[in-house]
Amino acid sequence: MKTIFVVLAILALACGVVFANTDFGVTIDTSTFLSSGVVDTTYYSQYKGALWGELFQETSKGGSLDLTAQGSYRYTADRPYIFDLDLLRFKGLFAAALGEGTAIELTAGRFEFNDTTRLILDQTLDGIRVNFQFSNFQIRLAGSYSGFILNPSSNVRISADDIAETNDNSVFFGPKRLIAQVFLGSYGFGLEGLAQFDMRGSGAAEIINTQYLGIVGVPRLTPGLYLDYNLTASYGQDTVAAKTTSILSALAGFGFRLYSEQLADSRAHLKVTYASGFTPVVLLLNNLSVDNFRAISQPTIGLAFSPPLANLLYVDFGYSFRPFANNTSAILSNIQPMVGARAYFRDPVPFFLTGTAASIQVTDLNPGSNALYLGTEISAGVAARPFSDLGLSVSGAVFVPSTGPSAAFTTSRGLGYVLKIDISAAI
Amino acid sequence: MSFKEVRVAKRVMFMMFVLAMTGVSFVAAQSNEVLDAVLGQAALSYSNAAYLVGTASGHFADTVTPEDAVPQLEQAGLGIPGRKATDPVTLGEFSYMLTRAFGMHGGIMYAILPGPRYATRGLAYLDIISGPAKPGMSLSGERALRILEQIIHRREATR
Repeated sequence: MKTIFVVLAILALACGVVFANTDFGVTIDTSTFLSSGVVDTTYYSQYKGALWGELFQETSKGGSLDLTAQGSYRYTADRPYIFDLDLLRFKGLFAAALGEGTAIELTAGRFEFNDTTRLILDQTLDGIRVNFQFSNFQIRLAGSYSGFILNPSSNVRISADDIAETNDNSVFFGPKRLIAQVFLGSYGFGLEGLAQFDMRGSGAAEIINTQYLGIVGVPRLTPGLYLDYNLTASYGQDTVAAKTTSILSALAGFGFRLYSEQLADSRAHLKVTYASGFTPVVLLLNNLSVDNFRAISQPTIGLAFSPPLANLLYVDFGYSFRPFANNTSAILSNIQPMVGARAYFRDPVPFFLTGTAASIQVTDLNPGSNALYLGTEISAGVAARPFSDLGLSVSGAVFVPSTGPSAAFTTSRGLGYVLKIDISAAI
Repeated sequence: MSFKEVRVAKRVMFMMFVLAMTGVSFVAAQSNEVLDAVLGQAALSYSNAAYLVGTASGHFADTVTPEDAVPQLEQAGLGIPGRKATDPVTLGEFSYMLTRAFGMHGGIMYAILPGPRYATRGLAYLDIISGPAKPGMSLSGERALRILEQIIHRREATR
């Protein structure tokens, strides 16, 4: 016990010497989710209070050292109390470490890891990331582990075991994965690689390792107009009952983003995203399968309809603006209405090659249908941050499914409505 | 153009911009001298902070010296009582002086507990302070002018 106090005292003293600035605060976030009809979503109501603290020190040439921790209490209807460590991050920015105009950013601890698209990986994990920044180029290396993240906080769902544990309250920690990342490039063009290794061991019903290699970028075409593209090929090994199948899959996206400060701070995007589905063309041939795309963490695509990112082709449009952008009132100038629409299809490749559309994990799918069009979601909302310490957002969506005897959904599936109200406050 | 020349040119351009935005005449040689001194300060002094805040917000004329700016700003209730003129001010203290002098919104918590902490958060939220924004951080003269430039620029844009 005495040793612990001595260690803590030394640590506190070291922090006081190294870090000159301390800050702390409390944040309260509430997210109320209401739905009616049939919805496929990962959203749910939750109420969270968090306490954070930060130690910060500027260093030479614009560098800095930053140690931040955040712990939280979260309430959901399924789990009345979740105490979690959201963030425990050391970040060191070493300016001009490799010469003028360069920097090395070292981040270690528990923090958010993501790929450039945020479609393959977007999850809080424990690990380390090093970013070598040059004037128009960066190299990013990261390694992380998912096995110490609480199960309700983990969105790593790749294998059948992972999915089976999603709502299992007897499982304390989320799926165990080692994840490696590398990125080389710039905003306009980057080469990105990811790999995840299943650490469940021989007791698991299914072991899946996956590797990803792709290109990604958001180059500027004209002032305010950007191209948005990504193309990723994935290779993996799926082991069930000592039999390993190699799996091939793909993720691609192509679209545009528009920003216009003159047009009431307008922001618009239009993007087509494709995630491959199971295509039994070469199944069992050399144990190779063109399969569902497997993201490391499942992204949330829509509000009322958000299927897993696999066997999917969707067109996403969104527009937001600030009608009072130049108003002197900070309250009015930050009001941001937004509208959006997403049209969903199944991957057409399996249907064109085999005559049969691949299955997709959604409610009320018509098993006898080969229809590709799934339906369209229309959404609208308003976000506002009237003060620095208060944010509000109200958004609603309706999913109009394609139903009928030969349509993708059975006639029992009606419209699905959702309303989501988010309030965040900082003290 | 050498690196040193670029720095000098940037400083002059920056000073010209700030002076133009504040509407201060170039004949005011004192302003030039003060701004040059401000740009050279690695840690902005209280007297120079008081001069910048007071003149830019129109609480007193630019003919006032930085030393005289301190009591004048404190008389207006916008200073930091008990602070010596030569003492450095932190980012939080400068933010607090600006928030009061320009009558800016500092957020709900600022209304309840006005002070450097919430003033800094308020200005950071408005993107008036860019980069790390911790109330206890030291503040260079150059960064102080950048912050002031942002406030004046926004005021002009919404007029």
